[in-house]
Amino acid sequence: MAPEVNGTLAFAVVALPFLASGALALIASWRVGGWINAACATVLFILSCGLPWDARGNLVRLTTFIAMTTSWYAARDADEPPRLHRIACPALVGAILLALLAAQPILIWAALVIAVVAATAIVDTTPVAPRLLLSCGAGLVLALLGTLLLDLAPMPATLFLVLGYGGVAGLAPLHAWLVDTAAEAPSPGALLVSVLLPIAPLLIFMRLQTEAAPALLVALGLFSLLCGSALLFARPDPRQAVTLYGVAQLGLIECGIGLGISATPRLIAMLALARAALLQSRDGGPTYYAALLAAAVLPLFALYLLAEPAAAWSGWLLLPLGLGALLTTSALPRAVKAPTARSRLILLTPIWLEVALVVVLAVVE
Amino acid sequence: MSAFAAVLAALLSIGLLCARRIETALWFCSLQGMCAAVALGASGSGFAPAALVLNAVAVPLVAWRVLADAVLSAPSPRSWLLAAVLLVVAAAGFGSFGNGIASGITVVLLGLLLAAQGTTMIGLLSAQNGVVLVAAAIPDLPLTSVVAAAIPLLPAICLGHAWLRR
Repeated sequence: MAPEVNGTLAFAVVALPFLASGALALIASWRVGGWINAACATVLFILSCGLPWDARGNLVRLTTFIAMTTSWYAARDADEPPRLHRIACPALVGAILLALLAAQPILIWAALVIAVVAATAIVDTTPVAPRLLLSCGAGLVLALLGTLLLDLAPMPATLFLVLGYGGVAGLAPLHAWLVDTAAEAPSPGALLVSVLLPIAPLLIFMRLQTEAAPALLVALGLFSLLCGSALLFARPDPRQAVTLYGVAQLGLIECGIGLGISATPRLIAMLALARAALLQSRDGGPTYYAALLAAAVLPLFALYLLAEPAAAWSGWLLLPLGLGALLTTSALPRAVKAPTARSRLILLTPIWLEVALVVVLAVVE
Repeated sequence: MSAFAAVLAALLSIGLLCARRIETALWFCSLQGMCAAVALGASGSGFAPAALVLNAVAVPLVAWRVLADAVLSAPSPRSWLLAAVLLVVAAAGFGSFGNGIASGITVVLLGLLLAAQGTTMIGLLSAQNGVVLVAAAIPDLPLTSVVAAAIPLLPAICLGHAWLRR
């Protein structure tokens, strides 16, 4: 496991969201509370810029950046979220930051338990809460089992860890709760749960890759990729579609971790930012189309990064990877209902240019 | 003593799958919690009394108050088949690590199967007892790991949520 980030700054980065959560519990007015939350999230992002500029520090900055933009988005939102929801949002961010900064596996597990409690509080008013508790609870039991067994039996322990934390990240086959959360929870909370919660498990997978079972990560990644991309064709609602796109793209990232590509943190950041932008933008505006375009091109970019190590691993691996990436790219604009044929054409033209570029590069190689 | 407690806990897991009444299921969970605490105590952990109080007494008692009206569904033939597969996987995959770990993993997997069938709270409590059995069977486990295994955090969260939802 990676060395622990010590010091006052890391402590402040973890403590500030919990303090904000406590302050929001005391403030009745959302008008005031929303801006306090936004101010705390902005300070948190500034503080996180002082952490080391390595993979883990960058994932912390990514988390605090998305928490900051989401808090601005929530403060402007006319709909007042339930009180429990607004208290739980900063607590979720704090728990994810603790999971990212902790070095001891058992502390990471405890941090993710706190994150699941916060996520349950966010979706408490919706029927999805029991499903979230079941999937994430089962995942965390498996993850605890894997953590205990890691030194004694590394192979089965890795299987338990990948399946368990994969459930918390919303990877297939335990992805249903995440899709329902995105559709049913109030929007700022749904965004935080569906975009930020997978980041900590992905960091754990990156640490596991060096210890055992890259083949396991690739196999489960392919399953998520193909599952997510196939379900995009089942005409889900737009928020579910963005989450299913995330499941497919997380599968690509899991494959990338298994294949040991160095650009994995960059891919995680690009996916999280594209999904956050897509969920925050309003339907129909130019921002929305820009976000949709970025999201739709991303699987092809990931495929481009993965193609060479995948071919070195096995030529056959390129087939499901390519199929999954192309299905995701072509299904996303249709699934999030780009309104006119012309706008779909605008969206799809650069994508097919990218496909052509990938083919040309492959041929040149 | 430790191996006997672990095997008894695994047998209680099969009994849990057959239970139709919530009281019966909670009695089985409580007995399983006692077996897990005995195994933890036999391994020399000072945290065994706390595990006994939490897993065998406190959580089942509170669950009995909260889940009094809940109904357990009868397991389908498919569930029995899955349970048999899980038993074989645990025995074949972990038999070489000793009775404690193999029985503990059996209890965890059957507990998760029970949770997936609809009784989330009872399934997670049983799975937690399995985690305690595994922790008891691993030599020189750090205290933080023993504490994380012995405290039934996830069943307590489920219970808290069910209580708030009532």
